[in-house]
Amino acid sequence: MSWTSRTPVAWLQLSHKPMRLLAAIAGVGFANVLVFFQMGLSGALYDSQKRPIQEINGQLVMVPRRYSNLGEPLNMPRAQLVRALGVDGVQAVTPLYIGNVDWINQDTRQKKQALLFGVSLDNPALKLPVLQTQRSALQRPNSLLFDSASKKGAGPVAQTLAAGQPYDTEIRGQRAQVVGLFQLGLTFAADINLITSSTNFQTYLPEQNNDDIQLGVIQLKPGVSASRVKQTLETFLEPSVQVLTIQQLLDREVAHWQRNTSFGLIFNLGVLVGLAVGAIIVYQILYSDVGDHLGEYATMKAMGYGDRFVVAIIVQESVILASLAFFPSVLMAMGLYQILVRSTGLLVTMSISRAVVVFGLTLVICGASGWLATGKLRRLDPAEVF
Amino acid sequence: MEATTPVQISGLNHWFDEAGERKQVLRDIQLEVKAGEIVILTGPSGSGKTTLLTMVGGLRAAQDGSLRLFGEELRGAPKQQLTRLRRQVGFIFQAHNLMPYLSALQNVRLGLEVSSTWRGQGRRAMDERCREGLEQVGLGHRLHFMPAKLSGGQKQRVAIARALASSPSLLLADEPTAALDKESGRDVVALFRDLADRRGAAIVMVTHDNKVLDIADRIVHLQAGALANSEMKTR
Repeated sequence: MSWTSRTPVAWLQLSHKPMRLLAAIAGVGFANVLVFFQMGLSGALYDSQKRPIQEINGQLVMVPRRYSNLGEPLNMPRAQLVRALGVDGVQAVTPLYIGNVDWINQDTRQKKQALLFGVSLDNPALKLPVLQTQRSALQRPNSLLFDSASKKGAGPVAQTLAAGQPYDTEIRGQRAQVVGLFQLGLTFAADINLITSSTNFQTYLPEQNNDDIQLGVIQLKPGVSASRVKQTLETFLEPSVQVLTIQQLLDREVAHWQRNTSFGLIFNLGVLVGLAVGAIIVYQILYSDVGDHLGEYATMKAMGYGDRFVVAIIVQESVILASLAFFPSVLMAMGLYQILVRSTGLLVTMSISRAVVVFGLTLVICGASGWLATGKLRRLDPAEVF
Repeated sequence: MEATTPVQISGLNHWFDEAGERKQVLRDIQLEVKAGEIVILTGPSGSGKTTLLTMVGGLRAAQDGSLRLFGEELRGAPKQQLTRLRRQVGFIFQAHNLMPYLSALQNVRLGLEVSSTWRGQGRRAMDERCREGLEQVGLGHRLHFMPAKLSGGQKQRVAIARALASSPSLLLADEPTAALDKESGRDVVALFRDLADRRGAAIVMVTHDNKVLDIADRIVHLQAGALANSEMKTR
């Protein structure tokens, strides 16, 4: 009762000057979009790192102890993976060969870094359906599949294939023929992704020992607990290898890019800058607002309103600004994400949790700068009205 | 039970710090304002009228001597106590000091909402009281006007309605009729008289307006920070 009977002073004061209110909303909204942009970009970049791992055709993976990320393949003996077959609940195992190779654009003769995956055609370590449909083509020597999301500099591979022609190039001096496309998307590790059969993988990387693999995929029988099998494996495997769930492998990958590279810092700084811009804008608006209306606030104090009341007006104004700016900035950010998706091929999407986080941050930042802007008000002497 | 005397001042001294110098603005003031009494305060500018008025209204804590408002000592009083006491005081400032973003009615309502009793009665009861108050100052037809759309005299009358709305026990007015024409000036002081007579409010008014001096029970003159004489009037 007593709450609803209050005059909404904060709102009336803000809406009294609509152009000023609009400018304030635009300012806070701009800061929000900045934060959304940074979060969208970093989220998408981390998500992109996860894509190849999400396509792994199994429930557990075996990697060398020193494994850090997918783009830095390390060798381990295939025999270790085969030992996993002896564990109850394991249906099959299959290797994933990973190697870094140079790709040559046939038009420009430019070299590009490519990540080459080798899979067993009988039981591919990746779930991509194209490995089934193009199975016979992949059995030919020198044939491989090309990621259609690779950088444009790789050459007109997709166009050539769309025209019904294979794309011919060379890898490590060996003839290479693209016979099909798949889509994993780009990672920080390479500009181009390629998949070939395990046999062809050996031809392109002849220095590799035939008994070495880079990642082992363990496929479980239906209904078998992955953590139980993982535990059993850990009891007898050599300490040079480790077994991870797919989720653990995903977490490793993201953690690697966040911690061992500058990406985490750069994106966090970007978010911080966005929040700082928002805070400065709100502080600036409310501070000048306090200054312009000092006489009115002194009058309120003279009338018997306490410090808490006048400070609450300013804090309410900051919360109103944060709230009004929020929905337009979500819409703007979604538009911006569309542009990013089209221009970079990254999976930039708006999620409810991200929106909630940004709104929460905006509220806290706006409220805090609103409170800071009231320093003058709290010191204001009501006797100044006379 | 005898009601406490709203204003009791004795031996009140007050100093301002001006450019490092301590300047005395009030000297040994003795003044009592009883319930139902109207006191007019006169004096040349710089004589300390406004300072005295702000102290009586609880806008400043007293430094020396004794100043009792509704029986409560204000010497060295904390901020919260002053804020609370001010809720029983109606102020009319020389400048109208209306909130430009509130309509006439909302401005008056802001004067009511400071009291939790009024808030408890709800928006409708408050609006009714505000409408009545604005009608009393002849602004029944301007309830929802914004201050920018009102003339100087009308704004001053809204400010008067705001101060009177909650029927304060003490009304302090600084040149309340300066912006008003003769007729509305008379109407306003008639309202003051009514508040004093019927509600037993104490009223202290700073004015030089000869047209309204006759409503005072007493006229006190302030000269260089000291009360020069106290003239009792017979009404």
